[in-house]
Amino acid sequence: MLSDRLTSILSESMKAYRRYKADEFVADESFQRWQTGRSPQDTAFWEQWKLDNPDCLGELQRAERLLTSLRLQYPDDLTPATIEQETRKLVSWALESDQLTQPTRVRPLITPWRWAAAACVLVGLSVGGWYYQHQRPQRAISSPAPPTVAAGLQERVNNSAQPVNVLLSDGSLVVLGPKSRLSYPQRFGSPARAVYLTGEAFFEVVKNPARPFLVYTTQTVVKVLGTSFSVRADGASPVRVAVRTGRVSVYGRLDYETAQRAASRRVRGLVLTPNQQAIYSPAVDTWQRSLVEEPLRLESEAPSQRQTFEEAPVARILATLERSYGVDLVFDEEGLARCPLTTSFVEENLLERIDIVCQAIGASYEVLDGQIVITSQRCH
Amino acid sequence: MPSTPPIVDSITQLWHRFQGGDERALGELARQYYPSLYNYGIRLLTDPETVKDAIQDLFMELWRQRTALPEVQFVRTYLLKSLRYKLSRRRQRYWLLDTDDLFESQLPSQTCYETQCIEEEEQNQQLYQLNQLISALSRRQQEIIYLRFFQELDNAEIAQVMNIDKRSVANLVSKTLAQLRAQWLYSSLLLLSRLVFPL
Repeated sequence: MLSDRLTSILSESMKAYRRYKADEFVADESFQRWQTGRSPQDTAFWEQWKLDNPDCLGELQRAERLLTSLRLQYPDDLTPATIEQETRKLVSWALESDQLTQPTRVRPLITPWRWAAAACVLVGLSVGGWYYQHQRPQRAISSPAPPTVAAGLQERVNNSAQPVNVLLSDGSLVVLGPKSRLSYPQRFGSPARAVYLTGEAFFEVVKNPARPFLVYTTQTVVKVLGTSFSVRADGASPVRVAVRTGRVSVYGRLDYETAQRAASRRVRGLVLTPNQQAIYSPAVDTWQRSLVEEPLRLESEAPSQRQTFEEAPVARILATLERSYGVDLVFDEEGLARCPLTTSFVEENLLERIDIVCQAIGASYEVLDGQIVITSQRCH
Repeated sequence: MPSTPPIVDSITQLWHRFQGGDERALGELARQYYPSLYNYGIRLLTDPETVKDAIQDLFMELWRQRTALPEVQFVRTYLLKSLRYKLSRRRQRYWLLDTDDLFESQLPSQTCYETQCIEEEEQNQQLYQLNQLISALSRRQQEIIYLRFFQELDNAEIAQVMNIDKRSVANLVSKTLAQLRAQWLYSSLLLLSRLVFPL
């Protein structure tokens, strides 16, 4: 099948190889392709050559050995876990930046891997969007300027009627309500994590006492360490902040920024505790505190906190979690169709809930490629 | 060690999906080439965190410019070249073969008498000696040897990554290997190959 010319070339090189020393083999690209198994043609050639030249076997073996030794010179400390982690960060980021350019496509953006370490907190923030009309002497605000952050700000605008998820660089999730806008840095600078909101949003903030999370609105600043609260500032009604769990500090924006610039630690503000709420009056720059009248449930709220299962088959529990969180779960539907489980979830995040289920049935789970894969035994 | 490269077709598909904006393709690309990039990165720069950041930046840039990227036939070469360029712009530039500690930890602390133990010890000794020989080479030689025998690039690809002439690469490879051979202990190699590769 080979042309005569090709045959003669081959036989020439075949002869030349007979004189080769180990280092010359190693330097030869065809030899290396054979050794690394990258080319069927080279493999065929060399296997044949080996048979035809048994007296060269020793040199061939020395060459193989040298090649292997060279390859082994470069260990590193990379682990599969690191690869996973870095890859996931990248994909999250890409999904996020993709949504920026296509605001009408709404995609669930929950990445449970970040939340495992967080005291998961639900924060609904709705922030007033109207401009601060009232002016005080020496305290004029023309248009609010966000304080400097580490990188340029990105903006997510939600013009649709559906909530849109925004994943922040620290793993916090913002469920941005309809007709709302969120500005945030691609990566949080230090020391604080600051975002800017117009409209309504629900926050799930990763707890980090070293880096307070700040939500700026036109008129107010809400400071969070890792709690659950809601803020409504939609321009139609006075700004309202209500706390479900934990503590939240609220400030008038002017006061806050003035204090910041003066590097003063004393800012006039209000600390709210669970079940308290405060309403801001821009006219007099004060907050009015009261008790929360009813549990806050916003349209844009993240999946329901409380879930109770009584003698429910595990497969059904997992399917419910999948639907609630919009995250793909991979599990043995048939095998788990028969194990009943009684459990209730209150404040746990998704990974914590899956962990609880897995512990109950002796299964294990793993986050892979944006899905959670659950490995279990068949139950009886 | 870099994983065996998959067949050309699936890489091309992966690259197309990447250019088409498929985030999963980005993930697959990153996962597949991360070991190569990381290993190369720490030769050039030593600090793992800086290297990881640089790799993140690299993929982020590629993603942002994905529609404007050329049709890439050899993705790994392209990525390595891009990483090299990115890291070359930093002030520190090293070429690190490996730390001595890594090899020392592999050498057994006590002398052992069983055959297998002795073999392993000899093997490690060999690797260590080769390591010393390679460290004595010029930076350029070391990098070429690395790209050729760890990254398994051919001479043309090395020329692309390092932005040098292909013939220079080929010459330097032969010259360097001949140099190593002159210092390499063949008798022990032969002994090893008999023990490790039974005929």
